Amino acid sequence: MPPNKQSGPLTNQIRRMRFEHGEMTQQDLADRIGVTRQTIIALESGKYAPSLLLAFKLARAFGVAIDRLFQYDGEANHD
Amino acid sequence: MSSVSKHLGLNAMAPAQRQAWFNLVIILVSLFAILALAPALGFRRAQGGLGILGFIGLGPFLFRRKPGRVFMDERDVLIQFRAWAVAYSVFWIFFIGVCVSAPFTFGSSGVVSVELIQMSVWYAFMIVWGVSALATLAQYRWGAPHAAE
Repeated sequence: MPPNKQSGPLTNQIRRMRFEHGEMTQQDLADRIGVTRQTIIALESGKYAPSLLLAFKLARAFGVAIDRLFQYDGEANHD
Repeated sequence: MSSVSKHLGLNAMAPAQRQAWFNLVIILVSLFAILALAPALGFRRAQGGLGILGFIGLGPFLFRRKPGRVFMDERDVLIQFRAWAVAYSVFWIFFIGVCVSAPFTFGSSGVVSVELIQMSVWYAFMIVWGVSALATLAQYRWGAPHAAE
């Protein structure tokens, strides 16, 4: 499975989930949740953090809880 | 045609990204036409090259929605919103600059020709659409505002 190259406090497992769900293509996932393939690419590379609604749609598409799909590591920035 | 699109990477681009490239090319062709015509026709008559900007109106027809595919999602809308905000900010900076410098150029009781006002509308159009296209392309390339912020 290709490595995840995200940075920033919000990371996701979208690419890994796609491969675990029958090697779903980016276009398949995009069609399923109603976005463009370019948005899926941006999500997987960490260039875009989705809205709450889109995050829930992604989690539902994979049949997992939202916190299994998205991880927030912002504690390091807290004072 | 599809192999040309693939070679240029057009298939990998969002529709708004393709339209931004199209607008930018039209603006550059228009500027080039004015500069190319100016030596032969004079600067005033070379402004006819501004007519090329009219092709920007073809954009919605060339890059229209394909049935069964999402045309614009939340990320595209955010990018467009931010691109237009940047474009109008740049326009206002230019506009204020022109207004402030006008007395120094024309004198405090000077006269501004109708021709100059007419031309300034088209150049303002060029600035707004050009900056919007550049801001759109930059966001698609290097990252866009996050919906979650």
